[in-house]
Amino acid sequence: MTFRVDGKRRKADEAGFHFDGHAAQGIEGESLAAALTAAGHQAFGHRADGSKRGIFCGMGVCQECLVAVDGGPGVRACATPLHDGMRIASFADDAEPMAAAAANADGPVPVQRPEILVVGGGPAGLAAARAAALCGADAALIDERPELGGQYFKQLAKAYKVAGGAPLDEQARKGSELIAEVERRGVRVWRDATLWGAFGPAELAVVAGGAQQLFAPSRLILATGAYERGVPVPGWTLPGFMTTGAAQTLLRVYRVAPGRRVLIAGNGPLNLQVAAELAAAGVAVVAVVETARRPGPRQLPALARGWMASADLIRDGFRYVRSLSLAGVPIYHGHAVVAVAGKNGVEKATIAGIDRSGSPISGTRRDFDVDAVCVNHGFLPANEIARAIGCRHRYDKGNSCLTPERDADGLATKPGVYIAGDAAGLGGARAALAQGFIAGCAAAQSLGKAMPAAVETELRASRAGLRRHHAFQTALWRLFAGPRLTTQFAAADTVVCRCEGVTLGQVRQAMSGGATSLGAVKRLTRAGMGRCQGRYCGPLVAEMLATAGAAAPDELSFAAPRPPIKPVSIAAIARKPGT
Amino acid sequence: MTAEPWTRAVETDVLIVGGGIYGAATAYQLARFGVETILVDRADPGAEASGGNAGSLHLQLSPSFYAGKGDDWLRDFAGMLPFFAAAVGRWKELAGELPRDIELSVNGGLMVAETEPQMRVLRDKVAMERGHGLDIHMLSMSDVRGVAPYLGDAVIGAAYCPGEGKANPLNAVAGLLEGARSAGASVLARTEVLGFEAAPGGWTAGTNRGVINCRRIVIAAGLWSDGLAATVGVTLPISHRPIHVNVTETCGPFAGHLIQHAELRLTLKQAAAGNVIVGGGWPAGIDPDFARPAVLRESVQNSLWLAQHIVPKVGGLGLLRCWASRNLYIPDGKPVLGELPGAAGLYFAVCNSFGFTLGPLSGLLVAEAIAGRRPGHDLAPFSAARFG
Repeated sequence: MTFRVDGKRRKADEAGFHFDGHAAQGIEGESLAAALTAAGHQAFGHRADGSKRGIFCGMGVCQECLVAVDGGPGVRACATPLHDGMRIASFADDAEPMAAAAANADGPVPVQRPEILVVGGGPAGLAAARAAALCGADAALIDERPELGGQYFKQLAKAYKVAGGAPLDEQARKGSELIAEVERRGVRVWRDATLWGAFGPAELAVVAGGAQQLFAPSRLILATGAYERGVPVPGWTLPGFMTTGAAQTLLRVYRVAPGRRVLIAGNGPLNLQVAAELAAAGVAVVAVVETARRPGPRQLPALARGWMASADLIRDGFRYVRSLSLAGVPIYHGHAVVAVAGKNGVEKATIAGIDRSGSPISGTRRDFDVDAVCVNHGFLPANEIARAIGCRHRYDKGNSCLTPERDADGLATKPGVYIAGDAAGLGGARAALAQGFIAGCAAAQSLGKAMPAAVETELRASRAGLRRHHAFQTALWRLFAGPRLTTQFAAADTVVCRCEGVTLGQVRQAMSGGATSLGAVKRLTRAGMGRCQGRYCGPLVAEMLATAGAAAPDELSFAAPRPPIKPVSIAAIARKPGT
Repeated sequence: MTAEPWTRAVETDVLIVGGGIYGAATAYQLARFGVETILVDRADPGAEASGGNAGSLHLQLSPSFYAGKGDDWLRDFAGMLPFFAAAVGRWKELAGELPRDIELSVNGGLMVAETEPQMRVLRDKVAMERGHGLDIHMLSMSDVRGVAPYLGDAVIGAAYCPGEGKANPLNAVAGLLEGARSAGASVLARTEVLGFEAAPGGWTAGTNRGVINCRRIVIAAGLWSDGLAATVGVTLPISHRPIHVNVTETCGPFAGHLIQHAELRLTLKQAAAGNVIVGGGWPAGIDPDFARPAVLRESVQNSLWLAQHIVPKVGGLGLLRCWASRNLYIPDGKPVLGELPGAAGLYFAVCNSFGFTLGPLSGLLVAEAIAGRRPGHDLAPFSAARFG
């Protein structure tokens, strides 16, 4: 069975490559992650503790999918395109680095001064840029990926020449239309643009196309989205254990299956959607595992409210459940993946029933033979840039994440800075679109731009829509109410900090030795000092401290946000002194 | 987390205020001498300068440190060179004693030059330092390539000091405190001394948790020592500047020395875990919203440019994190150690800029003085009374 779900039905240019000496064929321009997965490779490298690693988040956040290309430094396979003839090597943490000269490091950094800069090209960012342009503002949009759309509007890779150019489905089509409109209306779009340092709302350091840029906008709209929360289980660092979003990217963007026998697990509707999409593409989905209990009569009011708010989304949900049923995919409610095992990759997944506190119920374990486990337990906002420039946040206990303080327009606590979409609190794609539009209009108005009547009408509709979307989200999370999962499934020797291999036992030891803060745990164990910069372990350790201690987390409990926002090549950002 | 208040006053022999490397080293030694000791820190120990420095163990003097200070100052400070050498010796002893691996390595330091004028500066410096007994000599271009093949073509020579090295600051403070605890000291986090005064039998300190009565008190509060000293009428002219540190991703070992520069701001070393740490005193700012040190863009970009210029392989690495930590300054460059004359039982253990290097030895000397042993070095030059 091939991992490419469309077989030969889509045309694309072939590209030959080698991985650790093994020859393979891929598609020119697809991500290395897709090419390697399609060629049957799951392990892309190993860490200092010897553990093999592969795709985890699939979206450039976890830094686990590193590979070395043509003898160069480690690069993220999920973010690097394949070219014919590449020699790819698995990444070793202890390899000696290659020299790389700082290029174009002389002279002052070029400064871009758009009236409005939008950071992030997902639903919120695209909507904000569109609104800004409709109001006549000079707008720019930057995104770190080669294609716009973010996570929700994942677009089929340009590597695939689709007959007639037709996108996959309604969701992708909406995205492609919005992207086209944003460009048509004159928004300056910078793709492959990494914002590595946010030194102030008007001092944003970016590397775009290998060259340094400085953005000094008059208004800033942050639409940086979210990433998937990590819930540690024994074996969760094995290649083949990835987030549901990573699997969805492989499927929607690259038409590649994450495995031959796939188990999907976690909490929330994304798992149902991706399971249904995989099953529709002919991939063997052995089970869907959902922590929430099966909806019953008590959930009918929530279902009704959801229907009132967004009937089409409820219909989508039913459609996913039905198609899974038709495909013979069992759904286990009130269950979770509690362990995975395998030698070089995932081979077995163990699920168990869980009680209201999230603890496994004895006697309910069952095993599945798998080669991929795709998990989503909800999201965490990507708020590093907002916090780096000083926007205040407060802790949202319900979602166990920081949310920014904002007004009804999305204006944050720093003048001229707006935050929209999932980065502002997890509200779903429709809320993101509405918030983006509202923020774009507000930013333009604050610059004295006149709002055309049509825009005013759409603005009113967006505000009304927001109320509906919020009602939908509330209803949705009633339907999917499940216990908050943190370390319930982790044993003392289960890794909690994936990057540095720090175990739950080591974190507990630091805490019993007197560590009372995230910083203290970090200093004692190295948890949070790895390449993902504490994005996955930080929230877990913060919750452990809050449970043990007393004070609820606040914005100071979390690591002080500092550059680089994500790891960035030193050669790319170095600048000669005195120039 | 809030620490529990006490139901009645705590009694002890020695109270150490501050859990950075000076306080931790003092507590460790006192506990091993059998002196009853409590160390308090208002937050988590080791979180400030001791947790934010680059882990360099310095011996040779750095022109960018003494630039503009004048010959008399330099002559006076150079008298400290044997003290620095003894300090690194103490580090080596500690590495064998502590319950935690402090990742000590003494592979030598190279202060590199790119130009002939810089080579002359190094030669003069080396001559002066050798006069004070420091083991240091000049290396030509070919010699320095042989010792450190990872240096870039811009380097034309260096001053090589075999006794310099590095350690892990986080593990060092943690190890000292663990050693102090297992020898019987109490270490209390989240316990802040709000004020203290002389009392019958010694001193009484008010904290957020209650009263501590002690015979002897040690001010080891780094940057905040001047406020505490002022409450008993002692002036400590401590100033501070936030400075910048970069850390790269981990990689295989390739750079074993402590690298510095004859004229420009640079310290570069590779930690045991494989990360390369680049510092040197580039300026940082203050974040107005949270009143904490803030990273400046030019410092990130310029310091890294210099690092990859001197060590080209650094260019091939990813920057993982930066931070700004405060460096402390005392006008004559020397620490404040020992008992204050005329104030029985009031001791100081406060660093100057090279706090990390001098911390363990300083703690030992102060502990010796407190325990009634003869300190291994004369503490008179370091007395708090020298400030008038």
